[in-house]
Amino acid sequence: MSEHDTHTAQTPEPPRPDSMRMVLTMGAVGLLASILLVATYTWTAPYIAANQAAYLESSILEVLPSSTSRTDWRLVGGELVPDDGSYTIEPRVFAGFRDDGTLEGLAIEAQGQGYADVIKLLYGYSPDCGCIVGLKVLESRETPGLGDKIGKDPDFLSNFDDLDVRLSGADGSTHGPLELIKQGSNLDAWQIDAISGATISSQAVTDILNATNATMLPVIHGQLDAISQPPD
Amino acid sequence: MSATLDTAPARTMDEFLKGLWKENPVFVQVLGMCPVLAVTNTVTNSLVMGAATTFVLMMSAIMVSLTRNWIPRQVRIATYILIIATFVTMADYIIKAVSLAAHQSLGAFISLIVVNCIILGRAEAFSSKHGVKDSVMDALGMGIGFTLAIVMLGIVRESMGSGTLMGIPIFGSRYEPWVIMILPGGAFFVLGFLLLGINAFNRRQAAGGA
Repeated sequence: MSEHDTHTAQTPEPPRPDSMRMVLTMGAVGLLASILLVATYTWTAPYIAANQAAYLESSILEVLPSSTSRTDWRLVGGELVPDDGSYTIEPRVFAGFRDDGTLEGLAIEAQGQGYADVIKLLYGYSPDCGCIVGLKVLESRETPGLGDKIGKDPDFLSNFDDLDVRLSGADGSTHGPLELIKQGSNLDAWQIDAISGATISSQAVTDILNATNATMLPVIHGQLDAISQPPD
Repeated sequence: MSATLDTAPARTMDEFLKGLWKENPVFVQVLGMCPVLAVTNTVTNSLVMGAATTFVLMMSAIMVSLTRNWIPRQVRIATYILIIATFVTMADYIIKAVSLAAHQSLGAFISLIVVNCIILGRAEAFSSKHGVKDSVMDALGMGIGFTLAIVMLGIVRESMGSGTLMGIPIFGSRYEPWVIMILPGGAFFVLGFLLLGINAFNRRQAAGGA
């Protein structure tokens, strides 16, 4: 404060610098800032892309552990098309293939509203058994210690090791969507045991899976022949 | 050693040391409470946040100090914000390039370094009035002081709230974590007790010295 006071005392009416100088100063600093940002972006972009690819790769491997190669698809207008890089926001599906070229399953990207923010999931689906074979939480802002257990609690995640999601009518099975139950011990094949203290987050995961299954699974089964083609 | 020769380095050293304890940004100035309360739930988060804040402090101190005679007073705050925001965005890219996991666990709080008042505070109160060398020492001291403070909170909160330190379990499997410690409420408790302890210590020091 004293610095400021002495300043005003020495110059009772400080001369206003002309606006041009202020605009030029701001412009020059802005130009410098943009040069620095572009340089940093160009320098870090390949590392960031490599990190993201590695993270995606390891996530797919978590839900489809025996896959050694994969093909990438995106759901565009109710149809799965090969991901050639021309789409950016459409939901992704990855087909994972074993060493011998047979389809192990599909890793499906899903997202929806959680308790705190959008939850992003990746889950493995096996068309052979019509079941979910694994779940990985890619991104969540759920409450630490409670809701964030959806990505950490091994008991909760083990729900998704073998979860029956056969479509109505397919091979005689007619049960409905996945169901969340609290403190259950005798789980049916389509029931998920909720985390106590994190019912809303558990319900969110269940809802996301149901909504994504409803749009994805019919498309996947309709195009299964094309998807089952191993990569060259 | 003549007095005239070692006053300059001694003063520069003081600019560095004051941020660590006597004018610690968290414990004494009580500035920048948003990241102090929000991201100290693990030691790793605290370290990354501390390093990012120190980087932004240092770089903006250099820029503000270099341009201090050239920027009109009327637009100085706008210019400082622009400079700080640039370095925060650079820190954001760099953290993403080094570790995606660290970036995900800090989330929006990296971008929010822009509004950390320690940085604008040091730019306005110190760098805009001092040379580059002194400004860098001041920024480094403040940055390290901030990092030390939030790592202290991180150690207490992670060990009690999750039973781990940097992800490594330290209490064995029978320890039941105090979930409150990794929630925002726990941050207020730990910060309150640390401030209490430090003020009591300082008061006793002052009483003993007098």
